[in-house]
Amino acid sequence: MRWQILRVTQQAKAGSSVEEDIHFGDTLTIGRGADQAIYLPDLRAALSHCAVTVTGKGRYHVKSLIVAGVRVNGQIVQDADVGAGAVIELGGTRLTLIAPPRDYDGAVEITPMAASEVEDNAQRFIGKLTLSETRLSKRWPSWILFLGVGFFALLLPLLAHYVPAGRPVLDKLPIGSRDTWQAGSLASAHHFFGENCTMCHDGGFATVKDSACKTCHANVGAHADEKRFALGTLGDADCAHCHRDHNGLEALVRADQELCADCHRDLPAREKNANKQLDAADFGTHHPGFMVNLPAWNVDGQFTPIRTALASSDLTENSGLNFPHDLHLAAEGIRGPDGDEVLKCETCHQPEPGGARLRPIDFEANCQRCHRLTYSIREADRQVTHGKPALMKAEIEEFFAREALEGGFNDVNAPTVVRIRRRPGQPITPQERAEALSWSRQQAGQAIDNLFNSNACTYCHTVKTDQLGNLDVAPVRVSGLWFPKARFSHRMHDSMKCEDCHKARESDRSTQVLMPDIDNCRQCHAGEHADDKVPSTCITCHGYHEPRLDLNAQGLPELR
Amino acid sequence: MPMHESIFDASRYRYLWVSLTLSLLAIVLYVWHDPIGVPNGGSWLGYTLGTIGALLILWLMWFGIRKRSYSSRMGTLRGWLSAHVYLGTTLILIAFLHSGFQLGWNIHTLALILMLCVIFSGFFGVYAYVRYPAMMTRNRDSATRQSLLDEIVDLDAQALGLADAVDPKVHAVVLRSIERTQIGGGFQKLMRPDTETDNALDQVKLFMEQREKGAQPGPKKEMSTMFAMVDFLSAGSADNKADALRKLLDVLARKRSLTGRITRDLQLQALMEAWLYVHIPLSFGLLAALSAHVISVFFYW
Repeated sequence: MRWQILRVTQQAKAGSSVEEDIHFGDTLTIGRGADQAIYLPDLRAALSHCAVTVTGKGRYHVKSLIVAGVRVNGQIVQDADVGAGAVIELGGTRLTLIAPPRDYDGAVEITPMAASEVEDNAQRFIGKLTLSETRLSKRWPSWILFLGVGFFALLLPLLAHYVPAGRPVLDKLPIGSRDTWQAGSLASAHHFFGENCTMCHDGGFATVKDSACKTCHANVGAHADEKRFALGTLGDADCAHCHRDHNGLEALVRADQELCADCHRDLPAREKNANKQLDAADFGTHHPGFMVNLPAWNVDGQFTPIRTALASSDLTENSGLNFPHDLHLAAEGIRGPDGDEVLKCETCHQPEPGGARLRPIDFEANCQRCHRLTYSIREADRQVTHGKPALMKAEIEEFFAREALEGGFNDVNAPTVVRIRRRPGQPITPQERAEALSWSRQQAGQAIDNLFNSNACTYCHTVKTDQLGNLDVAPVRVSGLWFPKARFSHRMHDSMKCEDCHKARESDRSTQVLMPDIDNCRQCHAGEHADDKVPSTCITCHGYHEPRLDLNAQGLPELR
Repeated sequence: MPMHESIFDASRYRYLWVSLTLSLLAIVLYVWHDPIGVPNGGSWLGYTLGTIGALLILWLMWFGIRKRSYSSRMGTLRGWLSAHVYLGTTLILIAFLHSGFQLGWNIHTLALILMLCVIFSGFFGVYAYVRYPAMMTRNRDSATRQSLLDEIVDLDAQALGLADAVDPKVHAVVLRSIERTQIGGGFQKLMRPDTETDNALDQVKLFMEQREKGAQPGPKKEMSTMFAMVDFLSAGSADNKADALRKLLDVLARKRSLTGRITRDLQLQALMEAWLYVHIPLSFGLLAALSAHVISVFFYW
């Protein structure tokens, strides 16, 4: 192999000059040793630093002979296949492998480096010394994060709102759906349309309108009559004033005391003309006594209860019934058909299936076992139907008429026609018939008078006789709902005894009202901020929406 | 005015007091406040604290601009940084009280998480600024970084000369370590110490041990006369070699200590800067999330 070695030397003034040399051998060895093909007197080169072999036309293989490697084209390598133009740097010398001229197999040009370049290379080990010199940047990650978050958190949800066609896809995205805008879980009843924001929110940048709520909640009553009250004080009857969704499963319904106290603290002063409500702001300290619906009838006989303060000293109930509680609840018992019986409250007052209220007292179920409506000694099991005076009288009259006409009545004072036993089919003369019926009318009249005036009815009822002498029973009705404006559940008060609230054992007249007043409740209940009692807010007992006031209508029908 | 003000006690802890007052006020209002249902961002207090928080975030980000406006006369930069740190910390409380401690898988919580990341990266920044400058000064030991680097160049030249006097193998080892030693570079290089000089030192020590084993007197007796002669003649140069080897070890050890100090210096400086590469981009992510949070709340309110 023939190697052409060109040594370029820098002249001080006349530029450079080139010395040509020829080397024979398979490899071109380079190093500081005297035996090297290219001898470099430089401590930064090893004695035998590297070897170059020809691998083809203008192709070379550079191999480092020491562990330090050799810098080829700026990179430190142990082995490298390179083409013409490759530069080997060794200490202060640059060796350029060039395309061999004709008749040569390989060629190399040796150039000394400038002093400044050698000095620079000595500092080559110094890289970038601060982070700001490196490729790290604060600017483009900032842009990526800003635009990325903006795209997914703002742009995609907005797109879903304004392009309904895209919603099926956009709303299902794991990130970037309108779901990610939800500030909190919806109330449980609203979960079924929770992903469809536009069910409640129709436009952008607008609060939820009442009409959106009323689409489903059409039967909700208003709070008060709009015609009579200035509803502006109720927050324009804005549903969202009290109902705020997106706060988790609870808390859709406002339950705090201030909900009501805001207005009811001085409602009588503000609503002088329309309002009959008293001041109320805290059940424990600022609440009027209870009002009850006292049974009453108007001139036409219709039941029109009177709303009265329970605390009135002259309060008497007028249910039309005489009933002494004390007698029935006597500790030693009361005479019953099977001997003395000790009655308890629940003997008669049975709870309704829900347990909140008690079933109305029913004569057949609760009274008739003892108070039998019998009218004939001979047929002691025969009773009249309770509650229908005309029917009762007819039943008795029919009974005696049949006895008279059938005959065989064993009474010396009775006419003969009534006494003789008549065979079936045996004819009766008109005179006999008149005589028999006259007797039976008299008997029936006695029995009715006995039943109504002496024996049975007057026990409990007021019996009246009109101008024509007809007997009738005064109308009867207990209140049924004493507190129609409030909720009370007997079941919730299971742990209490009846007499804790109702003084029935001491009541000897049915005109006594046994409903407990507010002081009774206040033994256990107090306002929202009570420490030592059951904290009770207004809506513990009272509802807000009046069921009979239609939210969609303008005022009550009778007031329109 | 005190002799030395840090970012903590700027203007006699003025911003600490401002932050504590703000925090206390927020806590008192939160406890006193009785919203509809659970405490949330939609109550009047929620909106108030949210507005305060959003304005604080914008103002805290304004620090990046204030930092660059050297001509600004609006307070000292140290005062601004002090306020930045204290009010930024207060923001954690404000944000949680604003939301009533409610979290969820939504962009509102994303904004909170980004905000917390920004604040906690800022905490690291405060730690770095308080701790690292002193560590750097101690580490540099009154030398400048350039003088340390220059000394390494000198040591490299010395090491090569000494290594050459010892053995070609040692020379190659030293050459390799010089070629491979790298100070600085990318982020990873800035954080990692140089090991090339350690390797060279280990190998040179190994060479020395082997050489001492080879020079044990035992085998000498069995040497032939000629070899004994050669050994005798080379005894002088052997002394020189051992001397050079000792010097070489000194030089390499010195270089190792220098590269160690420089890389520690670079490491500390990089740590002082690195958190900003998290703090600033996350701030901008937060800005976007905050905008989305505010807009979405008022879009469907």
